[in-house]
Amino acid sequence: MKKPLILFILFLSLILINSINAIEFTSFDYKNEYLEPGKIYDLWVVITPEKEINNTIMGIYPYGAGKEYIQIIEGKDYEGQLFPSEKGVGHFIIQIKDNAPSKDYKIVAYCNYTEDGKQYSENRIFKIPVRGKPILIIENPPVINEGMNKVYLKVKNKGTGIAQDIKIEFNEGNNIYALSSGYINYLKPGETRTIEIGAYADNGIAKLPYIITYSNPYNNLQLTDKTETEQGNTNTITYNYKNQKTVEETGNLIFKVIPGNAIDLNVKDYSYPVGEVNNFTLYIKNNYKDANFIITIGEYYLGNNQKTVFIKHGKTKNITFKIKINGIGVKEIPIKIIFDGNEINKNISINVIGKIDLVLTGVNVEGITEKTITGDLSNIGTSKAKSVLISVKKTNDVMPLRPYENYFIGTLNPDDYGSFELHAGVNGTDSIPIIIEYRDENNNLIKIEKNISIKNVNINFDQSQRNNSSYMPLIIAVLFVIGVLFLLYRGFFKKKEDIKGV
Amino acid sequence: MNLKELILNPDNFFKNLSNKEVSLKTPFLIVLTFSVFMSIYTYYTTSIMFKIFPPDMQGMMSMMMIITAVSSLVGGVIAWLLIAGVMHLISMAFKGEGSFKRTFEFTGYGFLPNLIALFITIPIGYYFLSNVHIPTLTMAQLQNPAVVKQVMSSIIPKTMVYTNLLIGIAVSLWNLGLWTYGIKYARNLELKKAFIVALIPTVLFGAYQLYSVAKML
Repeated sequence: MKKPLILFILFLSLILINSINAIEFTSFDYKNEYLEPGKIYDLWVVITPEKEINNTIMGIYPYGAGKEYIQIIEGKDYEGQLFPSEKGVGHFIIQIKDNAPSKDYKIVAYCNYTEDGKQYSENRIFKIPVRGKPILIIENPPVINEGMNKVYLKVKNKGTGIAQDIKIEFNEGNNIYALSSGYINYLKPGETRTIEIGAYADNGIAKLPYIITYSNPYNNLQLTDKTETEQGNTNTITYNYKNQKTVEETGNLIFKVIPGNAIDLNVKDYSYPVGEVNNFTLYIKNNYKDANFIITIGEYYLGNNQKTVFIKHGKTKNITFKIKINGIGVKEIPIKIIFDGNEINKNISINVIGKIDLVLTGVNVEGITEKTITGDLSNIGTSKAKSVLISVKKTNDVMPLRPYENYFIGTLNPDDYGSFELHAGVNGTDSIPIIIEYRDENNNLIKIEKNISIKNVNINFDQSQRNNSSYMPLIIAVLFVIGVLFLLYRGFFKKKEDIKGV
Repeated sequence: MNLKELILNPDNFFKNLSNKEVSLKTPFLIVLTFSVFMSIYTYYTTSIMFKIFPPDMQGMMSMMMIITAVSSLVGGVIAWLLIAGVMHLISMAFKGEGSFKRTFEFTGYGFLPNLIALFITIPIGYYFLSNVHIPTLTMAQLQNPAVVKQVMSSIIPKTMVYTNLLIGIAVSLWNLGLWTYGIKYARNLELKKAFIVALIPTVLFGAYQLYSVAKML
C-alpha cells in the first residue's frame, strides 16, 4: 500500500519541478579568485530561459553572515522579455565591507518573471569567497635620543587578513642610520608586534625610509586588463590577472631626536629601607632650554606621582616624591620626563635594603659577683645580620670573664635567633653593658650596645615597719648609756677624787 | 665574789680578786651565759631573716641557722680568748707581770656588760621583729647582693638599729672600763698603761660590733 503512494508523490514532484524551472541560472561571475574587504566589485548573473518569459527582473541580496559584511550597491537589473535560450545577464555592484573576515559568504540571486500571464520567481544561492587583506602600518615612531638608540617600532596589522613573512628594511635616511632590519613571521588582523632595531641619530628631525614586504596566505589575483576578440559569431573575452600575493610597500619614518645631553638626571639616594615611607628625590639639570618639565614616576609612589617644575637653562632643580617599597632587592622605578614636546623615559634602579633589628629575649642572669648571662638574640627585622658577635663591655664595674667574655652567634636571618652565654664579674652595678657587632648585607660593620639589668627586683614590703615610731627602746638605750657613763665616772673620776681627798 | 662590786667599783673588785687564787669558773659562766643567750638571739634573728629565701631553700636555711647559732656560741669563748691574748701581749710591752690565766680570768669578767646589754637587746629585738612582714625573694633577687641588703635593712626598723648602736657604744665603753682595771691588776700595770692596753682590743672588738649594727642603716 505504501509503495504506490511514494511513487505517486515522486511523480507529482517531478511534474511540479519541471513546471517551475522555466529558467536556468547559467553563471555567476565576479572576475576574481577572491574578493577583498573594502573593495567594490561588479557581479554578473546569467540566466537562460527555456520558454519565453516576460517582465524579467533579476536581483541579488546577501544571505546569512553576508548580510553583515556585504553591501549591495546595485542589486536589481531589468531584463524584460527573453525568448527561449536567450541569455539574460544581470549586472550588479556589491561592496565587501572593511571589517569582513575571511570567509565564504552566500548571496542569493533571484529572477522574477511572468509566463502566460502568471507571476513566477526563482532563485539560487551562490558563494562569494572573501579573503581578508593585511594592511600593515608602523605606528608613531618613538622619540629617540641623539647617538645610539635601541628603537622599538610597533607594527600593526589594521587589515583583515594575516600578513606573513614580514620584513622591514631601511635605507639611509636624513640624520639617522638604521643598523639593523626587522622581521616578523606573521601578524594576525588587529595584532601589533614590536621590532627592535639599532639606529644612530643626529640632533634634529630624522627621516628614515623603509621598505616593508609581506605576503598573503592566499593568491591575490588582481585583474590587470581585459581584451575582447570577435571571430564570426563568436565573441571572446580575455582577462589578465596578476597574482599580488607578495606585497611591497615603502614609506618614511619620522623621528624626533632629543639632544643627548638635554637633561642630567640624578637621584639623591639610591638605597632605601624596605617597608618605610621614603622621600625619593630626583635632581634634574636642564641643558636644553628654559622649559616646563613634567616628571612622572610609574611605580611605588604614595600620593601624587606627577609633578611639574619650570627649570631655566643650565639650572638644576630637585623634585621629591613619596615612595614605599615592600620588597627587598634592586627595584626599577620608571621615570617619564616630558618637556617641550620631548619625552624621556628612564628606569632608575634603587636598592631596597632590609632592616636588621636585633633584640635580646629570654635573658637570664645567674651568680652573685660572677654573673652568667644566658639568653637569645633574635632578629625581628627584615634583613639578615651576618657575623653576629655578642660580648661583655669592660667597665669599671664590669669585667668580662673567660671563656665567655664574648660569644659568636654567626648569621641571623630574619625571624631567626641564636642563643648565647656570657660571663662577667660585677662590682656594685645594676646593669651589665653588652656589645652586639654584626655586618649588614653590604658588609658594613655595625655595633650596638645594650644593657642587661641585673637589678631585676621589685619588692613590695610594708615601709611602715621600717619607720616604727616606738621610741621606748631608744629611751631604754639612752638610759643604759647614761647608766654606763655614770658607772665609768664613778669608777674612774670619782675614784681619783677620793684618792686625792685621802 | 661580788658582781655588784664589779659593776659599781671594778677597781676594788679586781684589786680584791687579785689577792685570791685564779678561778675561771665565774668568768666562764659569764661568757657562757652571754654566748648561750647570744646564740639564742642569733638563731631567732636569722630565723626571721632567712624567711626571705624561697620555701624550697628553707631546709638548707635551717641548717644554716644552726651553724650560725653554734658559731655564736663558740664565738663568745673565742672572743674571750682572743681579747685576753691580745691584752696579755700588749701588756708585755709595758712590762706587765702576771700569768695569762689571770689575764684570761679578769678579761672574762669584762664580758658582764655584754651579758647585761643582751638582756636589754633581746626583748627589744623581739619587740621589733616579732610582727615584721618578711617578703620571700626569688632566686634572681637573692643573687643580687644589693637587693638582699636592701631587703635586710628594710626589715630591721631604724629605731632598733639606733637603739642597738647606742647600747653597743655603751657596752664598749663599759668593756673598756672593766678591762682597764682587770688588766691593771692582772698584769700589775699603772692605770694609764692598763687603759692603753685595754683600749686596743676594745676598739677592735667594739668597732666590729658597731659596724655590724651600723651597716643595717
